[in-house]
Amino acid sequence: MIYLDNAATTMHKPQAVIDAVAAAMSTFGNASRGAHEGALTTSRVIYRTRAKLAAFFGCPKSEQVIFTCNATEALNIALTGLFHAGDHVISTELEHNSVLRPLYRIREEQGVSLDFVPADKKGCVDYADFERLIRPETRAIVCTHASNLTGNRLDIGRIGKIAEAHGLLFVVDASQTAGAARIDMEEMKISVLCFTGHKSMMGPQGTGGLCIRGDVPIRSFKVGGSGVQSFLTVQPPEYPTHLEAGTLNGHGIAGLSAAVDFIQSVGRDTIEKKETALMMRFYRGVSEVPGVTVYGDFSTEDRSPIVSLNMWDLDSAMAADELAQTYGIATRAGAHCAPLMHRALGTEEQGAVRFSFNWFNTEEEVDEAVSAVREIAEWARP
Amino acid sequence: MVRYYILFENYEQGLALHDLLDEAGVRNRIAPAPAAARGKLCCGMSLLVEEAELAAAKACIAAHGAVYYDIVGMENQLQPRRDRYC
Repeated sequence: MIYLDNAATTMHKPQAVIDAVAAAMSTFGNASRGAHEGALTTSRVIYRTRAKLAAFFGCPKSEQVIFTCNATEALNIALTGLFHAGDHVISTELEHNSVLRPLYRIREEQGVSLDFVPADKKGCVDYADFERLIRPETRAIVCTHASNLTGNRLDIGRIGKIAEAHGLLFVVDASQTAGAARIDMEEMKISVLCFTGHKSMMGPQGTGGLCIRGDVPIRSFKVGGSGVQSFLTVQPPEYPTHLEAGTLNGHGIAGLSAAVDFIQSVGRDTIEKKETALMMRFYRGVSEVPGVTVYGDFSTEDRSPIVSLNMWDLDSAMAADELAQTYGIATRAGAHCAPLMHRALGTEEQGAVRFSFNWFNTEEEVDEAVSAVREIAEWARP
Repeated sequence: MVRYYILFENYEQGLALHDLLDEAGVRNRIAPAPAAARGKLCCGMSLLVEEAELAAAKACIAAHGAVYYDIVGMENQLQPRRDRYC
């Protein structure tokens, strides 16, 4: 199989990640539960992984790195725990449902009002719209770092400056960028960074988290066992315990730790350059094919390694099925949990076929995928 | 013999000080926080230091502004030379 669905999850993991998870499966006790060697082995790995991630993302306090099972859980924790009735939040049309649905929920259940920065036909925003939508009760800007549909990146450093200038919280969904794109919470004025471990980080599924910069109180999303302060009737107030209840995914976090080591040993810049080169090779190959429509802004290479396209009026699901069945190429068709983005692109009906690239892909795989698109587009010609 | 338990609000605080004490050469080891050290902390980890190391441990804490909850001295309830049937 040629795996080009890396925006959903990276299927090929570094061997060191696999080895770390396997080793953890036979050596880990329960972190923060007890002081015997099994428990401490896990506690130490989790403790050191927090420190690694804090350094990796420019989060000033490692204890404010909170582990979750994915970015969606991190976003739910942040978005349901930050706001109060009457608050106003600005987001964008680029968002995934992992941002949109929690926002819709807090609008219904907490009385928070929302506005969305619109996207144009290329999936781009006008940064002046963020300032235009700010009003006295605005509390935060919540946005993705990169669209999971087009790969277009937002300039989060620029948005962070807008947020800081107006005294707003800045919550970033880094699902499509963490591990591959440079992120510095301090420099980019990010208040809360939500990330997943299983995409560009190349770690195991079931890992992710949120990093909190500065004094940002977030209400507990779930409460329960913490291993400390057992006679308190409420979740302990200190981070990370305040936002972590129940046994952590120690095995997964061990893999995530190895994944960070892998990225740093190869070099994040090196990984990003290779993924960008593969994406641009594919883009250049398919954009010349008659009947192919590519979505997104390719005027810059500062984007995530995603190319979404359609061929004539061929249903995107049929195209993806043909790619899988005839060519052994794994892609993702449909709506990609990004309803506002599809609406902006005018692809609600047809959906789109998304090709997404990773460090482990090769130029040969890209060229095979271009050939497959060329052949399918020829057959689909009306 | 009195031994001293450094108590914490969570494992992150404890592991951070453990590293600092190790780096400073202050003998310490991770131990379960004694249940008798009630307050709001009745489980979790602590750092155990002997009386001879206590001043150095406090100096290390002060030098780094390390976070901890309390330090409690407790008599060792076990007889170290007890008959282990060996």
